[in-house]
Amino acid sequence: MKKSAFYILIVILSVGTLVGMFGYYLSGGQEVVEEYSDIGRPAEIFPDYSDVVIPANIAPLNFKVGESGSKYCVKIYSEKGEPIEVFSRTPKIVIDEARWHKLLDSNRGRKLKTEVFVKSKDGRWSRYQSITNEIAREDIDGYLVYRRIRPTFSNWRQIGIHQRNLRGYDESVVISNEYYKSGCVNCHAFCNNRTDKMTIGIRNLIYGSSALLVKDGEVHKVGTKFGYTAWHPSGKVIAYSVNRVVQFFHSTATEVRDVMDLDSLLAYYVVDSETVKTDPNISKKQRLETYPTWSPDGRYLYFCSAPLSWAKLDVVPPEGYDKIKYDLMRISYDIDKDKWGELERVLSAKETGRSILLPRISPDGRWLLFCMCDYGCFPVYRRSSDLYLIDLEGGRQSGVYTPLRLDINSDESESWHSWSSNSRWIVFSSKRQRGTFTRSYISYVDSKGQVHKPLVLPQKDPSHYDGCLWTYSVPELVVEPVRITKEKLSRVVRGNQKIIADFPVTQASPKVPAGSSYDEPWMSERE
Amino acid sequence: MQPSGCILEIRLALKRQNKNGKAEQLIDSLRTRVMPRLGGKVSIRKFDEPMQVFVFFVLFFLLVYFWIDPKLIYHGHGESIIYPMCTAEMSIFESFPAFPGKATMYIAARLPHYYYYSWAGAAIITVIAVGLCAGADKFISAVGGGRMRWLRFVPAVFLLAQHGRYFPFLLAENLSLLVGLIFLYFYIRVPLRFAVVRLGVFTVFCVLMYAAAVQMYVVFVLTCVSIEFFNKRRFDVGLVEFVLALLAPFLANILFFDLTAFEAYRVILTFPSQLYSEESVLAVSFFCFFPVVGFGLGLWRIFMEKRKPVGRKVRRKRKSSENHKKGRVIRTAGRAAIFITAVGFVWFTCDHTARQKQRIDYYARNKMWDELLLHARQLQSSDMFICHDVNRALYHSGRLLDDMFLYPQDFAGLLLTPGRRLSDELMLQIWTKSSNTLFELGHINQAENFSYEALTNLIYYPEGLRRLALINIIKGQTGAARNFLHALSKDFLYEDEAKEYLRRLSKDPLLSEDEDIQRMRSFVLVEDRIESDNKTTPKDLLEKNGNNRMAFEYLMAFCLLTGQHAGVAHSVGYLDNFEYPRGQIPRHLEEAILLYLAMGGEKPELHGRRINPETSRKFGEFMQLFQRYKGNRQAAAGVLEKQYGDTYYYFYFFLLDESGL
Repeated sequence: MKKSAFYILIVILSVGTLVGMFGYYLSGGQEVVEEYSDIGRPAEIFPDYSDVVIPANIAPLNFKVGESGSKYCVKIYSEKGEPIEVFSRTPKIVIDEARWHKLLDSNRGRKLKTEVFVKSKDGRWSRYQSITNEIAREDIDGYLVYRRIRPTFSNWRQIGIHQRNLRGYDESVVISNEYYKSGCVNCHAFCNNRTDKMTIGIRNLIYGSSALLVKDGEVHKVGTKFGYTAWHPSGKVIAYSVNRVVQFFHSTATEVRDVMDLDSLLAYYVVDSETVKTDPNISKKQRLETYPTWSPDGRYLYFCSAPLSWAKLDVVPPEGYDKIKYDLMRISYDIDKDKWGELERVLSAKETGRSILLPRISPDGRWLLFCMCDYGCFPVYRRSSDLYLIDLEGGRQSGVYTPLRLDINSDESESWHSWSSNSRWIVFSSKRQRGTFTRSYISYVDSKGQVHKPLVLPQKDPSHYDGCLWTYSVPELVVEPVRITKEKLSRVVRGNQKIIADFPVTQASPKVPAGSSYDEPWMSERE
Repeated sequence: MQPSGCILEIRLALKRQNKNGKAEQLIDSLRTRVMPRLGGKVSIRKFDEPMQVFVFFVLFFLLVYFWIDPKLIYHGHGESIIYPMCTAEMSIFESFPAFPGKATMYIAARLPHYYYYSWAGAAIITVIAVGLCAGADKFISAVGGGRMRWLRFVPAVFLLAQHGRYFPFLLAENLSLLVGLIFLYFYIRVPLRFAVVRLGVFTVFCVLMYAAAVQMYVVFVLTCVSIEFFNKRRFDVGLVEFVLALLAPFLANILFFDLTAFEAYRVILTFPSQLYSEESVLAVSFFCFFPVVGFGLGLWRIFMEKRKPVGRKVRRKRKSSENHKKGRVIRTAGRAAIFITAVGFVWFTCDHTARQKQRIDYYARNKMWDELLLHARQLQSSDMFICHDVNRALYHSGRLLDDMFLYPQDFAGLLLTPGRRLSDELMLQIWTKSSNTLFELGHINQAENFSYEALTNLIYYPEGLRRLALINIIKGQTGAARNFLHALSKDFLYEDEAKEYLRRLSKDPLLSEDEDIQRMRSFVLVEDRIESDNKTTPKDLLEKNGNNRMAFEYLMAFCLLTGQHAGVAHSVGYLDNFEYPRGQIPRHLEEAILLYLAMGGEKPELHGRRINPETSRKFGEFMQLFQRYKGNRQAAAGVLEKQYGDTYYYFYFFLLDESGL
């Protein structure tokens, strides 16, 4: 061996040894914790992963121990399988993914215990009361698609739809506005929790406003704006709202921002014929219709509707904006005949005293999840926004739909909820952790409709949320990843080809222009 | 010159100066230490040259450090530094899709953070200058411009001139040029016998250049081609290189990116869009330097060779000692001329106004009020941003209502209300500056609004994070405050401060014992209103809390700037709420009261205070003179300005109409 090669080898080995030693030091080094004193309370951990129901297919719930010490040991175990032991010299507890999944898989429906040991500076170990969680029998859908943006006021820059593999921590971009010279990307919607049929709303100064329609692996640009969007379960029709949005600011309220629809209506896009239609019952001149969602059998379109109480559509804020409250409506629809039925009021704002927004029905058709807030149409800016559940089956039998306020609500805003395909999990946005910043929370819904304590979407770095300036909104659960690449989606955005889908001129004068014009940023961009 | 000759020359030179001892020491040192290492091949000129280079770059560093002052660039409130600067949020930038030139942009985004310290910024700029000059040296030699090697300093001079403009910030472009020169160096250095191999290397470099440093792709291609054309005289290879350079973006696009064909080629010609004409000329001249030198020197060589008589060898005459001396004088004079030209070039291209503005901004950010006011007095021109900073400085120095008319005033500058939407760059300045003032005034929600706008546009804005943390503490939203403080703590410049706040918040989530926070809480409005409908004014803030001195002074300043001296005259009672000297009234308020009375206003209640006789006397004089010039306003303004230019009544009669109201 040449002398120089020998020296290189020595250097490589030395560096390798040092790195290994450093890694070993950080990992804490295994040791047997036999002697310890018991602390009569559970250890504080962040995020709060205690008394929650965990999907068996979720990524390890890494956390930070909120107790001071020089070394930490965490034992995670259940009835079956090999316990997991984690040693760390820092309060950050990072759990091995493979062992975690093995443990959870073999203990579905059982309790999962977490014991926290903390070594004090004088070398004595303390054991805290164990933290108990429950492993659900049912899996959660494998992927979560959400919008990742900054807390938005009038201006915005980095907006992207991202997808997260819930089994691990991989996050990837579905589409980002960086791919088409800024602009907005929002309102992603999927058909039956699958990604083979999906839509994404795009607003862009250069390339115009459009909706990206993904169908069977192909991407099409529809030359009209889709607001809040809902796929008919058949995948043949897409209902969407057209909103004339205004933003304004409060001088003293805790939440500075406020958003109203000056005007809005519902329309629908027929996929096969590539046409846009509406019906007088869902686009009334004197009402504001928004947030469409289909019943799983496709026979009803649920939506929110409020009386349009202001005469001037160019005054901001509109007169009496803080009195506006939305009712929950539904209308029957025959997809074979493309015929709409009569309007029904499911739940009246007069009865509840609050504005009813964002209805979402569980795929089994049993539960209707929605939120209610003090006024308006944008719950994420209303601290008063809480989640409610209606038992549709009970309502059908009794004829009365009674909303039940969920125990999982916090003092901050809860909104943007969606269901897993098996109707056992909901994911929603909440500002409970950091006020301004929304995070995604997962809750288990049992067969009786009891919604269990939520857990924040786990991250590899347990301190991820501490200084995280992102806001995660509109989380949608899907069973498979979005397979169309971001490059392909953005190429279509930038491309010239599009499906011309204007409102029919013969129709009873839609109140909101539906062309592909570009809005002011804040008109199209909200959290 | 042979080594022995060199030593002889040193000996003679030093003997002439009667420094025999030193001469012997130096010669010994040369013989025993330096010469053996250099294999005896050394000359005075070879010592001379590195010394020149060293001196040049020491001067360069000092100029950048003391004159350009990179901390002013760092504090350029988004005007200069457009890239995300800090480590904490660089992950955002990392998650951007891959695009040509991202690598250099990434580095260009990281480095400016160190401009916070002027010495570090100067070091970065100097290192870039050294790299560019070394590259230029190699390139000039390669194209046969050996006698024109002095040109190698030109990029450094351009670099200095570019930074003297302060805006725009072209670090990514400069780094790209450096990357291009590194590739060029290898292209020149690697011995390549076969044209095919040479073309292959060129293609690889082109692809890499396109991927990593697309900003200077064209420059790189042209310099390579100029070498082939004029040094190697292989026109065919040069032409093929042109074709390959056109194919490389296509190839790079297949390998690394996903751009359309149009976009793939468009990016190679994209130049920073925010350049104004002067900066454009300067930047284009700088970046064209290499191709121009390549083609220029090459053509010059060809031209000279054609003029040379064929078949006769011209014997060069041996230089006599006198000629040698003459040559040295000419060389020295030449160097001096080049140096003076370079300094003159940098001086004349420098944007002195921008420098002053940056300095004012720097002082405002660091609350160096005395320095700010001192500099503001020396300014030749003003704008609403300077006016805004000056008024803020005056308030914090306790001089707003006494001295505000010492400085140029602009109604829009008081609270930065231009009355219309400005360009994004200017709006950014409005948001960053206004959020500070609104925060100090106690208009917390509007300060929050503007801080977010600035944060969104700047991507990373530590000042904004700090302010948003404080705003959320004031509003009792500890969770959000912690979030901002955690983000801030990842920035080494703010780490200690952020951690201290976090520590205090963990003990007292509302910081209820912090006097500043309590004071700010007492300013916060109670009655909600919609800002787009009915904007909150200092009057509303003063009505909420009569002890809000800043609101009072800004309200008075607002009244003065809008000519509402009646409002001022009837507000003297408020002075009792604050620590104004007993019995006295701030000068500008006195002037407004006198004007109000002179214009027939009813006598205001002065609450035991009296108007300074000196102010009354001066006002009387002014009015007499003003009457004398009645009908000739322009002449009056010229005469009265010197003596009364710092008074409210002068502003009212001569400047109010032009103040942007």
